[in-house]
Parts: sequence; C-alpha cells; structure tokens
Amino acid sequence: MSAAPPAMKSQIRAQNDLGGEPAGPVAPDAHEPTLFEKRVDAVFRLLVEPPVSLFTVDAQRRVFETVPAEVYKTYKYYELWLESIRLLLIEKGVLSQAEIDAKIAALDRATAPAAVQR
Amino acid sequence: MSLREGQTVHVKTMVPTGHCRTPYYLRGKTGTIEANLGAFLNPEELAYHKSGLPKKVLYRVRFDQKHLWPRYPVTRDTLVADIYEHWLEPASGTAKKSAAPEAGVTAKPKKAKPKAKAALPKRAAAKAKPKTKRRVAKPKRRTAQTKRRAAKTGTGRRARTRANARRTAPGRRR
Repeated sequence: MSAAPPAMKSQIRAQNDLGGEPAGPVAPDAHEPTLFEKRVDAVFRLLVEPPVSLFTVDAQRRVFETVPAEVYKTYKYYELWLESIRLLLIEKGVLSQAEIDAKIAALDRATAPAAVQR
Repeated sequence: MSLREGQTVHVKTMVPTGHCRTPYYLRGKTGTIEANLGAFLNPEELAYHKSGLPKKVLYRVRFDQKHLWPRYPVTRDTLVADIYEHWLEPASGTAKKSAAPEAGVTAKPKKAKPKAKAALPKRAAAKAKPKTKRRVAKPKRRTAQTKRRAAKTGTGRRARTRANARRTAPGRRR
C-alpha cells in the first residue's frame, strides 16, 4: 500500500526500507540473548567505541543494509551484525578475507574430532 | 535553512544512491515541524567513514497517518519522524499550506493534531460535526485496530520505538 511516487519504485528503494510494504503481522521472538549474540555485541562495541573507534554505527548500518538480498533475507539479526563486522574489518584493511579463511580453517582443525582429521 | 515549529514542510523526493535515513514512505509527503532537535554529524556521511561535517539540523516532523496511507482507517492518528534538514523544504505556495500556525505550538502540544488536519481543510470541515460523538469511542478503536495496522505496516509506535532502539542500541543497550 505504498503511496510513494511510482517513479521511485523498486530499484531505488533500499532492501531494508520496508515501511508500508505488505509483510503480515510481526512475530516477536523474545528470548534471552544467546552467547553468540552477546559475543557479537561485545566485538561490535569494542570496535566502535574508543579507544579503537574503527568505524561508526552509521557505517555498520550502511553495510548491514547493502548485503546481498539472499543474505539480508535469510540471516538472523545478529548474524547480519557479524557479517557487517566482517565486511567492515576488510573494508578498513584490518583483516583480509584470506586471513579470516585461514583462521576459520585452523579453528576447524583444532576442534574437529580426531577420527575425522586427515 | 532554518525551519520553525509549526511550519509545513515537504520531504524531498530524493533518490540517494547511498545510505540514507529518510524512510521511503515519507518521501514526497507533507508534514509539520514539531521541534528542532539540534544539529548532529551527518549520519549519511559518517556511514562512509567521513567526518560528518557540516552538522545537519534534525527536525521532528509530524505527519497525518491518513496522508501517508490513503487506506488508513482513522483520521486523527499521526506519525512522528526525525528527519534531517537536507531532506526537508518549506511547503510555501502549496494548496496544502496550513496558514502559518505558529502561535502557542510549544505551549499546547495537543494543538499538533488539529493542525495536521488543517492540511486537509475540506475533509476536516466536513467531519467537524460528527467528531464529538466519535471521540467517545476513539480510544478503544485506536488500541485494537491501529496497533494491528501499525504492526502490519511497520509504522506504529512499536516500530518507531524499535527503530530508535536500534539506532542507539550498539553502544547503549543494557
């Protein structure tokens, strides 16, 4: 039921800008923050607040809002946060994707059961 | 540009390519300045690791729900949004102009609603009489119907609260 000028439709409207789009009722999913969510929040704050101040909340929002559509639709809220942190760390040159991949591989190796290791 | 309380404004129909803070559904709409909230670093610049200078004045703007959503069931409801100055322009010389309603705006916050209605003079006049009767039933309808509606459209108080919470959340929650 969007009443905005039709000329602005679709390609211009950001994927996060959903106000007025048909979406059905809101299904609140109240729960205690999980360990994962708390960790993402902690990492985020350490990066945003002094003395690090690597990027702003505004930058995080920009990145958060411009992830690919599949990512935006399927990731949970804090997963999107984590994704935006990853993208900003790369954008600011703190880490490279290769470094992140290497670390993940190392962690996988360290935590995999012995029998599965090659 | 400095806008004053009670002034009628248009939200610009801009189509920015980058990060922006003005919801799509408000672009091109007409509202009334409710308050000047002060100047802030421009978030649309901060989003790109820039300084955010010069600061932009943030205004609280009130809109008629009926104006935003033509099928909105209630005439009296309004929506408040915080919008940066570079997204606003005075609505001078428009038919919708509500005859400079300056006096006593701050002193009597209740006046904000009737004033928003003045943006639609004919309808307001037409409904002036039955209003007294309707008012009795209003509060109930508002909670049931409007909330459901607002939940659907993401424009209600909850949506705004959520949006505000998110905006201030990362550094502040807990």
